[in-house]
Amino acid sequence: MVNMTLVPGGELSPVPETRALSAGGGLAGLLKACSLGDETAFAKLYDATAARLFGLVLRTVRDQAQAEEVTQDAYLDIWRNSARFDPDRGSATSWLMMIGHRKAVDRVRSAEATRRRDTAYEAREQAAPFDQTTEEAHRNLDAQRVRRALETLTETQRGALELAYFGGYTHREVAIMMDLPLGTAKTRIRDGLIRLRDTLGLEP
Amino acid sequence: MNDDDIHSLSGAYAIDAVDDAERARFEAHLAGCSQCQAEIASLRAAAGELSLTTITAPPPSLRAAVLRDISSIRVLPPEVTSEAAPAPKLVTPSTPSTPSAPASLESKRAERARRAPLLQWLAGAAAAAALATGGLVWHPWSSGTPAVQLTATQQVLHAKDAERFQKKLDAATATIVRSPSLNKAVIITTNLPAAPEGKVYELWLQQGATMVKAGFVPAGPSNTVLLHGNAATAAGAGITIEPAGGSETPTLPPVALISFV
Ligand SMILES: [Zn+2]
Repeated sequence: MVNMTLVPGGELSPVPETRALSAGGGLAGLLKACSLGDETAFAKLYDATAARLFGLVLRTVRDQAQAEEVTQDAYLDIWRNSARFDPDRGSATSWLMMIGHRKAVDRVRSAEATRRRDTAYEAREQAAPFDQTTEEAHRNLDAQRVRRALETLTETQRGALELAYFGGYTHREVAIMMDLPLGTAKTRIRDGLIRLRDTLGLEP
Repeated sequence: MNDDDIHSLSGAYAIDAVDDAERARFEAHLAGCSQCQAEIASLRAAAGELSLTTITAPPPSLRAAVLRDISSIRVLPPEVTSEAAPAPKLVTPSTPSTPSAPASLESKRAERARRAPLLQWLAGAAAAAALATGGLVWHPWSSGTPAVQLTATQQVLHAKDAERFQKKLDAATATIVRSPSLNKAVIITTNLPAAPEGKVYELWLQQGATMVKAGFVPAGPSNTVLLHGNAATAAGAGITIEPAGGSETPTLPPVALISFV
């Protein structure tokens, strides 16, 4: 496999590493290359996004082995559907995380998850070695920015959003879990997402 | 479920916090609501940022497994939209159809063209997310491309031979949509009062002279539920109030009987 990607002019050019690792533009370019069958571009896409996608899946399914399966499944779908992604219609990151999230939610709602879930996740997570590199420090800044944005939500909005997004619960289940009147949780989830979006300065 | 209610489901839908019936109903709404399409794209972007707080490196073995597997998987072709694609036909049984005057056709076409890209993006993402669950079906709002899988409920609602039977019960309505070719039926309830404490609404299909159990209506005033059993051969459907867990034979009188003949 040649480390090349087809660019609009028709010429072949290498995918610049820095672009690939930066924001959505680079990821969109990698997805475009994937759609042409470029496995090297896919490897770069994986390297640039796997920690984020796997972390999201692990947080939801709470089991290392199942999180690995779900993440693998998600990346195979990402490869298979790479031609269906269009950068004009949303960011690559948003598309990737949506696919990973949907897969994770499907898994936790399935009987398979109930049968196999173990409780070792929390222990493993706390025991994980923390080797802080510059890249991780940047990631921590990103995480801090998102956590601060979450703090602008009301307690109910934040609670409902976290139960739904990370817990994989439906809004009806969230309403029962939080003792909210039926129909209220979906409104809190929506209001919370809107506030999060606006605080993070994302396009409405 | 009225339109205000369904709009407010956008946040829950954007982050998969809906059940299958709600997803089906919302996607039927989404096809015609440019406001929700734009909102969902932005809310998904916001939700995606939450993954910055849970970053965890996967083991190197996962990378090797993924890279090994993709070489045997063919990339699906892009969605091809034909210029001559017919207007998508939408079956949204919960919404009264509005007659379209010829004068509004042009603006409708423009509106469809404007929202098409976003729809396709959503459709592509949904298809990618749903691929593992089997049974590929073409969705009416993707211009003939196999973009989105429909749940069994959606298939019935969008079936070419879908027939509607409606029953009004005071403020509540029960609408059955049946597709003989799919041998399935869906019931859509709106404003249904809560069943008495310890009781449930049970669904039945009338096969000959026998009422056969066909499932339950979940709690909540508005629901879309796929009935179990052979809908094509049924002469009608019924709703009864039964003790929690259901009964083997229906308790009379029924809440509603809906005839298919
Ligand atoms: Zn809407």
